[in-house]
Amino acid sequence: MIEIASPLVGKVDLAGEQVKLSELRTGLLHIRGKAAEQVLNAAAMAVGDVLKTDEGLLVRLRRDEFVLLTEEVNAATERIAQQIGDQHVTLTDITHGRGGMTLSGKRVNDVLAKVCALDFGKFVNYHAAQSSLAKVRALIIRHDGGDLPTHHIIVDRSMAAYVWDVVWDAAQEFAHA
Amino acid sequence: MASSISMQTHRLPPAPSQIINREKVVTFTFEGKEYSAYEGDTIASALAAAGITTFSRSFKYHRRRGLLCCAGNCPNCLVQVGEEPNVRSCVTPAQQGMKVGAQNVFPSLDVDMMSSTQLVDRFLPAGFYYKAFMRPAALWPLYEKVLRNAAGLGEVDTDAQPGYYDKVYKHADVTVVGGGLAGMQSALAAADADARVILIESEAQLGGHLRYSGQSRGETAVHIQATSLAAKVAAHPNIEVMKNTLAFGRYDHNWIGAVQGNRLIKLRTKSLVVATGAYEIPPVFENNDLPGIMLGSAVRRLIHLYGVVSGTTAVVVSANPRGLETALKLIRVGVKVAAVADMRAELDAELVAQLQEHGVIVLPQTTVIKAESGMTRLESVHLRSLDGCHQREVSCDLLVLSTGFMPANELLLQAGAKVAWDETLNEFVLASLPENVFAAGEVTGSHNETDIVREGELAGLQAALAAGFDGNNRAQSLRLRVAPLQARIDELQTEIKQTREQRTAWTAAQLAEQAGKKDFVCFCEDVTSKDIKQSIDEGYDSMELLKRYSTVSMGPCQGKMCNVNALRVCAHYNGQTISETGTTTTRPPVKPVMMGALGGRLMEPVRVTPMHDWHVKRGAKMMNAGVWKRPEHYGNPIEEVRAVRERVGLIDISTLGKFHLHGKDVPALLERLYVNRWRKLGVGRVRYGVMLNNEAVVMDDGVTACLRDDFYYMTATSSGASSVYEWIESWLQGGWKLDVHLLDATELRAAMNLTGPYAREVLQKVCEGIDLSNAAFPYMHAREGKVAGIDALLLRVGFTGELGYEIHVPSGYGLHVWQALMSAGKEFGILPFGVEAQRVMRLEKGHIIVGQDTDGLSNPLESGLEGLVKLDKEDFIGKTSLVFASEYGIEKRLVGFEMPDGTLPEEGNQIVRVGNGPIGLEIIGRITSVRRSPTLNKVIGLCWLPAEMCDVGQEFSIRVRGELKRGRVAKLPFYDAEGVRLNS
Repeated sequence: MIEIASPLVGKVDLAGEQVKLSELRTGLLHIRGKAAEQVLNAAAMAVGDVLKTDEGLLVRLRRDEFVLLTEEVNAATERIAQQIGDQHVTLTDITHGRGGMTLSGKRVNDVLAKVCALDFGKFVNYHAAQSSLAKVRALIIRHDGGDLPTHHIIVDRSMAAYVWDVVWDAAQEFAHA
Repeated sequence: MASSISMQTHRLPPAPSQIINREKVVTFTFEGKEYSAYEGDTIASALAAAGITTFSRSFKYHRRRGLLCCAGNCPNCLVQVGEEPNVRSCVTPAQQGMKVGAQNVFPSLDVDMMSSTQLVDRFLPAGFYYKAFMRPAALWPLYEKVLRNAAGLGEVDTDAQPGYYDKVYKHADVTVVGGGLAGMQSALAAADADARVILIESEAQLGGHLRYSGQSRGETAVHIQATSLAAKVAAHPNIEVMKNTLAFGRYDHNWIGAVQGNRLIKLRTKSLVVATGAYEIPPVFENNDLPGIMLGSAVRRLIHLYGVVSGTTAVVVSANPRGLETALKLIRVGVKVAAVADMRAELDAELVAQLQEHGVIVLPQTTVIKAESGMTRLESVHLRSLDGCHQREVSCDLLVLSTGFMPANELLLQAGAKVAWDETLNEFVLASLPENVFAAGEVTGSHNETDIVREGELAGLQAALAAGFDGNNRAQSLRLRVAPLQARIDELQTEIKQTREQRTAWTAAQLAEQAGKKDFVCFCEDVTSKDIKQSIDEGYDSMELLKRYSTVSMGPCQGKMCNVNALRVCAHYNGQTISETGTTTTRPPVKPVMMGALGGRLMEPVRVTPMHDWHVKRGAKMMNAGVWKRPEHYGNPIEEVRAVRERVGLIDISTLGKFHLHGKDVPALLERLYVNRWRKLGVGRVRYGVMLNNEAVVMDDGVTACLRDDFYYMTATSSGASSVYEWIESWLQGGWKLDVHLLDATELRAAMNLTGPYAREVLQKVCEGIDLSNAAFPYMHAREGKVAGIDALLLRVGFTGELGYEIHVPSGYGLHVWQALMSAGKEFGILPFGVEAQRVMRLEKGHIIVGQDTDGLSNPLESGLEGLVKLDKEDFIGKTSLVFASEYGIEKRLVGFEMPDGTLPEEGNQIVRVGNGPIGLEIIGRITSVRRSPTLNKVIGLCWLPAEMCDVGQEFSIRVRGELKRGRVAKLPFYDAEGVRLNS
């Protein structure tokens, strides 16, 4: 089986005491349609909510749009497609179109404040937002690993290397501070 | 090479309020001479400790200037530090190895030849440059050169390497600007009310003027109390303190711009408290700019913070209690105070008694009217009673001025606050504040410490209440807290009793007869009271006009030292009150900000395709296509054209816009988006379409494939992809009610075009599941199958004019498929080709590039696309405008042309004819695309011509590098007109 080529080939992880940056390899399914919340059993989710499910992390981007981060793309695709049936809900595997990275550590808010105008002081765990990050459209998902604040940053594949470089540079002053 | 280190002859013994560390010494040079400084010293305090009095030369007359404010507000201490000009030496820490120099002096700071301009000052009145250098006009370049050398500040090193600048976003419920007593009280009050607070202080420590007032409250020195309060602020979990940070601008919706070193801060705050204090301002009198004349606050800063005293014999001129207190402080540090002149009639008896105990002559109702200099600094002052009856000259080398204040209210004014001149207080006071903006402390006109503390608390509470705390699901808590907070606010408003007694300050009435001498209103621009009078006499009698004509308040200090005095002088000569005179507009930045800081960190997005690294390794010359990086060519674009025409080539077209359109209403959507028909496009078919905007201007083009009844795959130009997506989405969301989902698939799929006579043979080697024969997979059809083992969508289209297949695969497999095709094509002589070769071949085929061959006015009827337009369709975007255009008549057309003599014009060259233009030529068209075709061996192109000149064979003139060349209209396409190769 041919492996999906990473858009971050050659990038070195940042392993600071206060900030860590590494590549996020995950499958991504995009679900859109008025009936998407029924299909996904996610009517209770507000826009920006992140729900941990057996398949991965379900993110509500807007009223009729969701993204599922999952390691099991094929299985999830099959299950959701069955749920969709004849309804006009569009399911698209967007794994190939995105690049991802994970930023974690005590100083992540300081790093993100250098590249994104969102108020990360109020960006709670299991929350997500789409915003401009380093002048690029990004999906930012807070999903803490243990006690440390952790954010996943998902951007267009073609700009993943650029975003990585900018975030890596922004993190330098905090990595060991 | 620097000479030996100068001694710190003016340094005082250590004292608790000082912020210098005498254990750590650094050295730096000033004007080539080496000086020492203690850690914590500014450049200016270190130089003052060494006895330096002249720091700069003035802007116009090149007069000596010494320390005046020591707070970064005036222009007197501006120096060049290394490659950085206009550094405020009084607030810039001295650092090891700094190279500090004077600015705009010739040959040196001590001997500046340009100071001779004072001898001809009667030829240099206000606005002289508007009058003196107008004629003869031909000499202006010479004038300009001389004037630019004579004026100006520091020097920009054009060879300097770009520095590293940064940017950060911040958010707060309440932002307090100013870390003095009022600011700290505000921050604590707001933070105690659970607001998230950011406190911005421009200096390195909190405490404001308490740090250097030298006063005590009871047994405790005020600076100790300031330190204690600062510690409380710093320890508060709801307060973030940002020191060394300048809040330079307040913009709409409480957006605050600030800089901290090389970092720009973009701060969004719900409420803003401005507690920026007040500027002490000097009076206007003859020679009021001599080195040795300092503001009282500057003297106290030097003594209490840095342990430096800048004179041996002082005269103090005062209009408020701080002057007398400063005189006592000077005596305590060993300075002889020769006299205290106070403009007030009634002075604090206790302070006067203390001064008189030390033999100081105290002169009530007395002011200073003149200063006299020796070789380098002040030597004596002339004091005169306000009634003019008594006058005396007193020798001194230090004149201390405490004669009035101006509120540091720039941020408030930028926010829309209104101020009014208070004749009783002799200051501007706040008349109104905008929503969610508050003020506290000396900026409001309060100089009473009790009021300042109360105002601070009041503003903090009001700001927190206005911010709604943090609004984070604490409604119950909020309701419980509002009532007591409001009660405390009401209580404070009752308690605050801003002093309403008459306050004395210098007034323009004291100008008296010395007008005409060098009495400076504006230190930055060397504007005297005479200049202001003359400007008014010439008709520039309103403040805004006066400002622009005389340049008063337009220098580096932006009016901090001169604005009020300019108003006073203007009002005086106009015979008006200050209220009648009005004031000028305040704009950001409050203080100068480095351009680099405004620019912030370099963030220029770059998009690369999945095959980018392959192109780079292959030696491609990469070019920018919007934010994309694309191979322009791999070394020889002509060879690349030949490979495609004769064999086979492969180009990376991943940058194309790609969209998934899902839903039963897609055909209806396409009918409305494109000018041609779409309802009958069958599954497996591909069609070319042109999209217009509402004005019928060609917006984009591309092909769309029908893959299923309810699933279509659309492509758009690389540069137009994002706008096409937004365009379609806006129509879908805007009321058409069509059942269509649009997905931007540009990033999902890598795409490449395999094209050339052997394209089918190459593809056959790696393709599964598709019959590639011309009959089974003809031109303008789509098929899905596998290429190199990867699911692929194939579109049989062609931009080059040859047999070609666009191969679209998931991006993560793009490189794999690309490499497989290159390997498969090896036996056929395949070459990768870049944008340049593609542009040549599309031109040979006569295809236009939207945005290059068309512009913001081009409609399809004149762009060679009229065959596509179906005006009999029910409707499409732009149809109304297009119908009107067709009825109005076509005035110009995009046509093909050739150059009979082989000249190669440039894209953008003008097509002209004899007419009424500037050189007897009239512009009638332009070249949009032109290349020398290696296939046809001639120069071909596309150009816009008047409609009546578009017949094939008609000749026209092109202005090529200044010469007129002949072009000839040619029939399109230039290559394979029958389309045999495309359809092979």
